[in-house]
Amino acid sequence: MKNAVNKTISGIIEIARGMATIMKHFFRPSITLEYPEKKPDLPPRFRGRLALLTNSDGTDACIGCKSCVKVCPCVDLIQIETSKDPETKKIVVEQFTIDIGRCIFCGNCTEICPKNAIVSTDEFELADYSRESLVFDKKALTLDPEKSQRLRDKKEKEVK
Amino acid sequence: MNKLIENSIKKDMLINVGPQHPSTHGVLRLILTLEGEIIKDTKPVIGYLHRGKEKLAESRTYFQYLPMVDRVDYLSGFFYQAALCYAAESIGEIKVPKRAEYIRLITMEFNRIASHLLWLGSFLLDLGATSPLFYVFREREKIITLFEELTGQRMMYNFYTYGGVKKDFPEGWIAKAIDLCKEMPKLFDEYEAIITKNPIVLERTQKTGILSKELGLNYGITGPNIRASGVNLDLRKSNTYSVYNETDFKTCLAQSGDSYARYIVRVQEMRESLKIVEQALKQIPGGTPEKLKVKKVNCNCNREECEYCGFDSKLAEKKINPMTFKLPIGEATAMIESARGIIACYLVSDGTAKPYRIKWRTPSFSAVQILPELIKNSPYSDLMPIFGSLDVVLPEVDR
Amino acid sequence: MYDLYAKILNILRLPEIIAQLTWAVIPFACIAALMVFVVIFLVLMERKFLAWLTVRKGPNRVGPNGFLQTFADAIKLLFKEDIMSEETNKLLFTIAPVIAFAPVMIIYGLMPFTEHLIAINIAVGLFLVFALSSLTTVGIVLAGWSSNNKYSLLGGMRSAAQAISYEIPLVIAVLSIAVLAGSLNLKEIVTAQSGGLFSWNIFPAFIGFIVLFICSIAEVNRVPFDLPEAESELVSGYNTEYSGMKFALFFLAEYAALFIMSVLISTLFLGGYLPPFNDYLSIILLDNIIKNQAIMDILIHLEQGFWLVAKTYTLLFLIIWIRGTLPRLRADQLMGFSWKFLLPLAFINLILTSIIKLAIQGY
Ligand code: SF4
Ligand code: SF4
Repeated sequence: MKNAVNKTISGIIEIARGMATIMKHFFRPSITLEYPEKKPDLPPRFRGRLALLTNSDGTDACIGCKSCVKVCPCVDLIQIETSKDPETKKIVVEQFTIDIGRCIFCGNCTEICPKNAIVSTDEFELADYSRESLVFDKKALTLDPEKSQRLRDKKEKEVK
Repeated sequence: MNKLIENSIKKDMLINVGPQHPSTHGVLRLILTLEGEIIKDTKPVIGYLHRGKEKLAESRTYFQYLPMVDRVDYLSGFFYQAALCYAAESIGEIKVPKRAEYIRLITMEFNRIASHLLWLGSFLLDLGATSPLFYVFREREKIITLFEELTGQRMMYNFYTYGGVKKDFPEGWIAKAIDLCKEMPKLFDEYEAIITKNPIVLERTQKTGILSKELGLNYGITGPNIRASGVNLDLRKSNTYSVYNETDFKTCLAQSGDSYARYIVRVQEMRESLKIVEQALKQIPGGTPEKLKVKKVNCNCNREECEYCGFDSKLAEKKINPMTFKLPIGEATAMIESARGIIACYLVSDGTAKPYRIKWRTPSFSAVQILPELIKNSPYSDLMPIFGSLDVVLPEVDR
Repeated sequence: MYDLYAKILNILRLPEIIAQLTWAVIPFACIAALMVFVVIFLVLMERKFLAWLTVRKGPNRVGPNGFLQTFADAIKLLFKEDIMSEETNKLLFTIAPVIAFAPVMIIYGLMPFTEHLIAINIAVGLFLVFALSSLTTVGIVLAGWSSNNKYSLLGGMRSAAQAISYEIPLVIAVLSIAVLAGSLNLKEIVTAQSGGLFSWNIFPAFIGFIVLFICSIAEVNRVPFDLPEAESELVSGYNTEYSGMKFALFFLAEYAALFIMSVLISTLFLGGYLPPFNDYLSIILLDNIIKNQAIMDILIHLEQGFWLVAKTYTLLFLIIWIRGTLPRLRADQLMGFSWKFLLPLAFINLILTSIIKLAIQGY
């Protein structure tokens, strides 16, 4: 009997303590980020959609070494077609396709690239209606020199 | 007619829980035989999340495989990468700098807290309490934000590499982490105020799902689950990998082995992990990255044992080239204590750029095995709380 | 009132018989409107409060501050496809929500919201309220059985078991009120409590108040007694298979019952529409200013409504707060709690109140 009374009283006290703790949160600011209106602050290291950078004169930064193809964990995700320019003997990148729908944003390709030609951007809203529209070709991937410079500056600051 | 009588005499009811059910923590299917509301028999059906992580390794180079292991257990990706890295490092005899080990330790312990926090929320959701779920997500978000700043992603970090880590802390990270360590215990106190002595929680979790020492050991249960049954099994203490021997912490034990004991062990473990992180953040060789950089420039002695430019302040051993990385012929097993128990990575290398065989031992797999024993003869309402208390993450079971 | 109504219809050149027939329907139409209105805002309130308790924002998209969210949800439910799986018992499946819903609506008619706002004022009102509120369970059991789904069946069975075991302490707790007021008429029970805060029934029958409060939470299947629809075990319990309007009826019935239970508790224990002071505030404050009796009556009427709503919403807030805190009990613990704990308490309460009543009245 005494036991039961004790248990009841301690139970009531504990429940009251729990409820008071919950009530404390009533007065705390909410942590919701109202997403489509407000975007999250992304850290500089964020790994979003991939992009190709260009040099300041508008030429591709990519030299077509295909290192990124070899470290990408998803087979055939990056597809590069190169050809040799007969005059300058330089390798020209003709096709550069990334199937973003299959990319796992691991960052292996950006780390290996000798020229830092391929980088992760801040873009993360990639939902689309079809898988085909997620296959980005060279034109869609390449950024103009101005943007490239900005991205480069950002990454540089981060590395320092 | 006979069949009709037979059916009406038969009191058992076969019920199929999952693979689509609000609280199977992923996609587990349980075929239960109920008598009234008492569970008589259980058959777990697994494999709905099988992605062939072991087989995939055989067709990927070591560096290609590295990002994949994060996905074995999406709640504690660091541990799996660590296990793989330790296995590869012991075959290749790659030395890991102290600073990298400290970074690994800090991230792993933070990861343990994040994982336990999410477990706490979902466990209480299984019991029917909704609010704590939101609170734990708030706290977990703080840890995840730190991870995002450090690695660039919230869950699939791909941060460790063979012989170290990929990047140093960003500026200000250490200060933020120390603040978080100061702030967290107060929040844990709040959870405990809501949960630990709540009479309904006590009623529902005490003396349910009792896992005895022998049963647990026979089934290979590890981690907090077995520690709640009073077995002192903590690889961080007994099998010191990384730099755990340089930090001071204690193994949390409970004796009763019921769901409540598992809860208590995990909550205490979170506090201990915070202590480890706090110590590690203070002891890390080279200190904050900003300081380290300045010191390095000033010192510039390039001696191996120098505190600022020597080996131990580096992030990874000599530049390992992902394109040509190969391991010598050999095999190794690396075992580490993850948030859920012992992870073992068995790696066989045949000297090529690709692993010959990788085998993962995952703690959740054993935990699912033991479920039928634990819930036998308990009411149907206890199924989810007991299952939840085992902290099973289904992708880890199926791999 | 009826005369006025008949006159209006007469002006519209409608025969008297229509007036006679429709007059009886009007209160129910009003009640139904009231009920839907109440439920819509109750749901909104619950979602908002729960969100604030869990450091979220809650619905804030539809209308100003999410004010119209429940309207949007209701419209969505109305237009949803009504799915019925092949093996269901079609007839029972269809009438189950109606059986669950209709009694709640009648209870609304029995409640004295203010002195005059009471649709059916009968001598055994209290008795009828409890008779009707247990009918809802029949609907839930039927729903569970006819869905031909094992989760639903378990939910329905749990609901039946729960309703039976919680009705007993509930009724015994309420019995003490009947003893105190000497009547089963709800209005008389309220009038018997007039005279300010300290003549409310909660003082002699505090234990009864606690018992009734706990039991009514169980009666309307709320946390921590929400076993019939325990999400983590039974998916959604008895209404797993329901969709569209039929689901909406269950939903409506549940929240309407929640509201009416709070009204009932405030009527029985907290003085119903009576103010916590000796007299109405409007009389205390405005008696010297407003001399017109008719205006005064209207003011008092409004004030009565205000007090009832205030008391009811305080209770509702408490219930929502509890929902935010507690986990749910297990079926056997639930039964044990009712039979071993609440029932003895209810008896103790009955004895205590009877003694108090005897002591006061002296016979
Ligand atoms: S981020 Fe990873 S998966 Fe995506 S393209 Fe680069 S290497 Fe491949
Ligand atoms: S690694 Fe860089 S330079 Fe080489 S092909 Fe890929 S993007 Fe071009």
